[in-house]
Amino acid sequence: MALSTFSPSSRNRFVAVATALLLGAASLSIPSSAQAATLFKVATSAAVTTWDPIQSFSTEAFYMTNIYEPLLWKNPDAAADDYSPALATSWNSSKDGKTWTFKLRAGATFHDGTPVNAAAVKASIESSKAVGGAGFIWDPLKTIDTPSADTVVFNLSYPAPLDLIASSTYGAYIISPAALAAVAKDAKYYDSGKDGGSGPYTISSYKAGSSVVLTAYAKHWADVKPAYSTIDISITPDGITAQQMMTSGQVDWATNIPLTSVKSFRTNNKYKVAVYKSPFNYVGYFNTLRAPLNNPVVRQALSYAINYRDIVKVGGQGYATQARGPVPAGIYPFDKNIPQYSRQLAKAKSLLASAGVKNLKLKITYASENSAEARFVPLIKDAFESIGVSADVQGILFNQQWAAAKKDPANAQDLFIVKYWPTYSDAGVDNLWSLFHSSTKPFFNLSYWKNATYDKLIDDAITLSGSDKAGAQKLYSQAMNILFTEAPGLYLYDESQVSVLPKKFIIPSYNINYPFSAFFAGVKLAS
Amino acid sequence: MNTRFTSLSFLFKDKLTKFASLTLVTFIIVAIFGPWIAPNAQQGRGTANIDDSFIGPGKAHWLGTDELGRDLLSRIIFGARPALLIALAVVAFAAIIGTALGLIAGFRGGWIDNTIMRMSELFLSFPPLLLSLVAVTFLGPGLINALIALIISWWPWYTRLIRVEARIVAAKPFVEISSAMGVPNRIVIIRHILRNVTTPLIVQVAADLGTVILAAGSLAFIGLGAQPPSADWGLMVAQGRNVIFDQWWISTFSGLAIFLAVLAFNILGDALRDHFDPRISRQ
Repeated sequence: MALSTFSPSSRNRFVAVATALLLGAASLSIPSSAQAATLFKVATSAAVTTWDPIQSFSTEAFYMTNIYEPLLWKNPDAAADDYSPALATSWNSSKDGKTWTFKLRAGATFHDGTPVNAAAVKASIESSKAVGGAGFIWDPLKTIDTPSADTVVFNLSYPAPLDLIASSTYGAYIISPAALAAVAKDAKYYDSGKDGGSGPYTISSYKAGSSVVLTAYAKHWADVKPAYSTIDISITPDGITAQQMMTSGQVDWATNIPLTSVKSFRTNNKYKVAVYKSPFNYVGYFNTLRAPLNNPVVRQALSYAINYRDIVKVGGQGYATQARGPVPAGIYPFDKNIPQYSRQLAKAKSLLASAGVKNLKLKITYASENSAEARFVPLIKDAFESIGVSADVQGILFNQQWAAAKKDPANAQDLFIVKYWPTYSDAGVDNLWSLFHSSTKPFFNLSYWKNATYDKLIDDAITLSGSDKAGAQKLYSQAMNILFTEAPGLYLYDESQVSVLPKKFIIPSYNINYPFSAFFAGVKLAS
Repeated sequence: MNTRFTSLSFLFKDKLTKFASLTLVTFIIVAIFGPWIAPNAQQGRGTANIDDSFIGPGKAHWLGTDELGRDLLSRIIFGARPALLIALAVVAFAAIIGTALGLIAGFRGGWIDNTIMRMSELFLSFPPLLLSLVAVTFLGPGLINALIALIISWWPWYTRLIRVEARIVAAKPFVEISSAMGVPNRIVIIRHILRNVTTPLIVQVAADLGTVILAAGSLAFIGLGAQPPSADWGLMVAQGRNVIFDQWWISTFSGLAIFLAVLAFNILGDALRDHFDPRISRQ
């Protein structure tokens, strides 16, 4: 019998091992709150489309703002100062707004131990301008001078708010020269989760589509070190799963609680619900390359068919307002006098008839991982059907939706629904330019619309905005009026940011300037 | 003709089978006459009525309403037709393709048998839902593509089943004599072999109908099958899942529809197997 081979000593060993295993198993079941307070667990929907800080232009911003630093951080609207120093401690501009000088922080180092200096800043910005996903933000930049190791001088071709540009969510990170050199040799250098940042956290582990673990960078320049040395992030696209993970204690905080669940958290004394103004804006692009959508009258007819009230209600769940074009309310150059479409079925039918359109069938695509879009897109189909236009709805992952739209515009979707937010707090340079300025190769201009008057107004406004913001606003407003009448897009709604925050922790307030980010260095226990 | 095929009394032989038969008859009636039975046909088709969103089950809406204010009972009634149609279509196409290949493989043997069986084994080496998922990822989401994807993953099961049966029948003297007498292979396969493999085929078809409803619902649930605002049970479960803690009725009742349909087809499949299996029938 096998048991007879057990000697007293081996039995003792067995008991010891079994006890250790049991204790180990028990410790695994202890809620995260009872574990050492150095681990903060998060569930988020934020996917990583790239770890390359130069190429980054999507939801990985959630992580990037903890790993990388720009020269400045833009503070939320209510803050006393407009900016907080990041890698630059002081900055000024010439009277004509065309020369900007930044003094760099002494003692800041990249995660590879090399110093953050003027050469690294120059290389990072030049690389971003040349090949970056948000390289357009550096359009005014002509040259960069580095008179000393801690001084960077930006020479612009026209006046521009470089403090704002240098604090952008995308395209403004300062990167280690070693990482820049490595990625120049091997485009996949970052893929496994390597980083070249100087921020308070560094990537210690990355499992694609599953998890990201951030570890505090011990040599970060800040006097106050992060309360949590490890941030364990589960990539959980499904909001209801994230919600369950938070309420069951598997994670300390879930950033993507569905709006439909927020009501139940309002009556839960363990959590508080915070609602912030956000730059999130829902737009639909009509494919203006295809007949009959190349006719503005047809696009107007479709715009008049939409039941905006219902879409705002279903999509925004009480945390949204109808948009006035692609510029979100409260973000420059928003203009409350820009007209809005409203549901006018008779007018829509009449416009459609005047354009001679019959038996129109459209293909609508939306990002399936966006639960708000999944909720309201059927209402668009409903609305179109109410004027005799049928529609096929296709929910696919955003990356696939975007890739298909860029690949073959003439045969792509008829209507592309997107949630968009500006790269930095200037929706003129971004939303108005990125979404509707003509381009030879589509990137985010997925209506493929070309209008020379609009292009000129936007180009002139951008050039003027650094020196004459009010003058630029006038041009932007004229451009937005063209967007209304030409209707290359459906302007749906502006959404607020709704955060469900566990009261046990102090989590830094939402910063509208970094709408898809969370700053973990500021997270701490409430008591 | 075999009386086993003519008498349907086995469909009511015990309480469980009666329940399954009645459930299926109800689903078929609902699928055919849905637009006339549904309390609100417009909402059943997908028309929203936002002012009535998330009303719980009650007198006005027996099964409540969904987030777009649509009567859930009407949506479930409208969902019966696509559920049954996709199940029938997938099983029919898979059975036709699989049976044809299985008959050829079983009758001809040799390299033809080897080629067909290795090919079907290649497909069978993947879990059916995973294979469907991969196929629909390439084809793009949608009801028709889900249907194609399910057919792709389903036919090899029929090939394997029919090939085994065909091998057994092909070795019987009456088949060998027919071939020796110069009856063309086509006639031998159709008249002698196919006729003798119909019993396991019918049992498998009945059992598969429920499984296909579940698989199609699963694809819709993960967003790869029917697209909104289609009245699809799997899609309804997915839509209700986002509000499951507060508006439990959406996922519950649409899930219940899938559960009943799958259960009824499975019980019917068992009843058919028992009926056609002489050993069990004798017992």
